[in-house]
Amino acid sequence: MPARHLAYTIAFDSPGSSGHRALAKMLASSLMKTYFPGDVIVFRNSEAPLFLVERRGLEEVYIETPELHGAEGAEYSWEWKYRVAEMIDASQYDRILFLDCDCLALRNLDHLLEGDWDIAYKPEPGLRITLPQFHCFLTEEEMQTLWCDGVNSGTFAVRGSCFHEVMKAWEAIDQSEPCRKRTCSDQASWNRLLLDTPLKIRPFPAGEVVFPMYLNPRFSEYHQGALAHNLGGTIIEKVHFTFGLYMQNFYCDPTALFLQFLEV
Amino acid sequence: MDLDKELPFKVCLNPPRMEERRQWISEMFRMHRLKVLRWPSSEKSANRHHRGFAKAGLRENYLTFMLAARKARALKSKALLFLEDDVTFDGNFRDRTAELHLPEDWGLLYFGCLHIERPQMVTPGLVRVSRALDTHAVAVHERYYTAILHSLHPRRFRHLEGGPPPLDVALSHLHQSIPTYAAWPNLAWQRVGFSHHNGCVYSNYTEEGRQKFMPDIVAGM
Repeated sequence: MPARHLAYTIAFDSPGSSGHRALAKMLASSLMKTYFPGDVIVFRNSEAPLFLVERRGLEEVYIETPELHGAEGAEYSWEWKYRVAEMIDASQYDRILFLDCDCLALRNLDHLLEGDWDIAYKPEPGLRITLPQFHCFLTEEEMQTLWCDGVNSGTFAVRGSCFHEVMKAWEAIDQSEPCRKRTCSDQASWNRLLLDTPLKIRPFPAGEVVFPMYLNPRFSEYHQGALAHNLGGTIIEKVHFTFGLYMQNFYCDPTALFLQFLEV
Repeated sequence: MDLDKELPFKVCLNPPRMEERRQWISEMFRMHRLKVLRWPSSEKSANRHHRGFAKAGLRENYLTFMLAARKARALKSKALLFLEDDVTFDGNFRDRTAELHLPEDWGLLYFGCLHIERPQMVTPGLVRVSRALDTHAVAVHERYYTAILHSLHPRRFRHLEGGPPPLDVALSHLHQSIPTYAAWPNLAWQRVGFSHHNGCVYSNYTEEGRQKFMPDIVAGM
């Protein structure tokens, strides 16, 4: 029997905005179009469903939040990466994949979830862990001696059997007193966790998770990835870029036939 | 063996020009929870010298090892683990290392090497080295810092036409006088990649870490 996995994302919008909903819808749709082998859960703070017609294996969970604004709202949203764990029955899954809602599956993701590991993660190539977006839980000694790259906390996978343990450990670090000013603290605490955990950790295979709007802006580089993580830019820019990539990836053929339907 | 207790001082040669290797090796260290000091070369890529060695890269490797041994001695560190930045590790490196039982007399320990004379099995997972090459992951016990620094001093090779031999060859001359052991099978080895010493994509090892060069030496072990 093939392994059963779960992918989940968080789509929390500020009042009057629907950018994260739009991104989450494209992500969920891309997972289904690329035959994600398991369930998908979208946690949203808007009441209306993303999909009016039910999709098999896709669940939407409404979470009531306070009104979210600016950086404080973003920090609050990021905490829900581990806070939603209590709503997930991890025991039924082999691997649990978290994806920021600005991700898009370009190809099937099965291979990202294979192998003997407990946690898979994505480093940001060329950006040291001592940079402010990663460093707020590093000691002074580590600031001098660590030379690995920082890890992005927007894409990771955890073995189902240790998912709750990992999320609890992450929460404990994230809620603890940082060594320096908090910046992207969920990411910094995720980096701390990876440095300390006795579990088996592995980066995702090289070139499979790409950052088109950030570290991999060349088309020839990012279009070969399995998963695009479209961080960078404003929420509107993300929606525009992700929409273009979605349409190109799923509806473009060499004759641009889809365009013929639209522009008869 | 407790890797952090037995080998408290770990260094890895990674020149600044080797950014891809920095990313690779630092990721390896994170995966295996190894706290390793990065030792960048003091020479810039445009300003590297042979100074009597056959190649600038060989000199860089040789002298970095010597400097690391000297530093370990100055720190009174119990042992030094020297790593090269194109090393790769067994997937269960930590666990398998923990299972190793080192004899009291050990002086050099290879986590992986290329045997050129047949080694002797000592305990499960450990062999006594007769003669072996490569220095991708080699440890030195504090008892032998001075002996090695003395034996490998470049001045001692002044009479040789080609200058000092590569580090692994120079160390291999000491295998009979310094009790030398190696993990068996290899727990660390050179990954397939561009070798700056050989000028081509190259490794002496298979993807699983078995030696490709002179495999007959270890056949049946």
